[in-house]
Amino acid sequence: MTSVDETLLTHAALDGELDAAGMLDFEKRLAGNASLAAEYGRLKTLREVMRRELVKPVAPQTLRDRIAAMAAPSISPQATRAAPPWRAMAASAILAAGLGSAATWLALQPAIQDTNLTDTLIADHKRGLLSGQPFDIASSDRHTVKPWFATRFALAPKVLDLATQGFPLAGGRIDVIAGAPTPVLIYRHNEHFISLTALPAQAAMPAPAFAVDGYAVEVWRDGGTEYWAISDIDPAELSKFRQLFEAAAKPVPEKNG
Amino acid sequence: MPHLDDAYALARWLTGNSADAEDIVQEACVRALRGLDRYSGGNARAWLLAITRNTAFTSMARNRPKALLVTEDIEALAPADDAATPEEALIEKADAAAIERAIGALPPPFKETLVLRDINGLSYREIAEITSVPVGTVMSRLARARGLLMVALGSPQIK
Repeated sequence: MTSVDETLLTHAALDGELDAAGMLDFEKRLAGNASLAAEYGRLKTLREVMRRELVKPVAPQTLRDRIAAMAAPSISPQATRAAPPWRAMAASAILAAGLGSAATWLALQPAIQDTNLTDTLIADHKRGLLSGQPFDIASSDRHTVKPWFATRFALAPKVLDLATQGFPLAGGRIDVIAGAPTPVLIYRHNEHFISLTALPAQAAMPAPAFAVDGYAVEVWRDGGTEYWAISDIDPAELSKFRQLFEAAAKPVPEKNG
Repeated sequence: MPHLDDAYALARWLTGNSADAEDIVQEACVRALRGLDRYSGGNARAWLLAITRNTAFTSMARNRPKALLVTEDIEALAPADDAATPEEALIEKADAAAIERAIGALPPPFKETLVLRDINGLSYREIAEITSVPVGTVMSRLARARGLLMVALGSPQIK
């Protein structure tokens, strides 16, 4: 039978709310408990069905216009008298914070002047390994990892599962690069980890593949996004990872979601 | 405008109709602008959703108190120990109308937790903050909400 605690754990696992240790423990329980596994299966089905059938309501344009009109006049002279201008501006800024589309997100990202981008990314990768916790969310299920990013970034990175090709998804984390929170996907290959960072594409394209201090680096672009894969695996293996990722990104990737 | 869509989606699900949802979101934005000096920074989306949620409940309490009628000890209710386990195959076949009906029938505390998690995609901590309950309560409400949905969608007699 499934205890109440296990029920809660099941939901937390589904929602990506367990840490790596908790997830490991849960997967062990899952393997040894058929009724728990059945419940987990039903919950996954429920989630898939809800994603398939429910369309998230979108605010109508008329409402959007009314709210925009409400936020805008607060910068006009009359309103300035009532409230200090910084407040009005902050108000508009907060309401406008959500205004940006994915494209503006890319356009508004400050160009990363950090010439040591490579060093920063490798340092983040190392830090992840040293802390023994290379990810903020531990899950091999891209349907858990993708929404986790989607709630934190206007433009979530492509989350592809390459488990069958030998590169299972291990989780995701957020690094701060040049002052901006940046999504990082973690893949596993044998006993090694690969950090895959998605950045807005910069003006200058760095060398597509190189090695620093024993770390292999692969860089490629997909539209406005620049991917940086970093790992201590063999450069040839990392190059293979890149090819697999690019190939998997080509067909409509969200089809079976 | 992701925050506005989030606020609208929450209001739409809580009230069950789009006219009320529009009024509530507009009212919530007015309150958000007015209460800006109390905004301490941090998660702007959770902040707007918390205001939207409170506005929705205030408005529903005023206009449709019946919709908020909750049996006293809803949290204490033991998990429905039905003889029949919901069938995965039936859940799989559920269509949008059936799911909407099932979610609409959830008691408000379960419904808002489920919507914040599965429609708005918030984390447990954010939901706990917005609904002012401990994370443990969020977890048990979510489990109950999904349990009720699975029974509603996965039981053979309900077609």
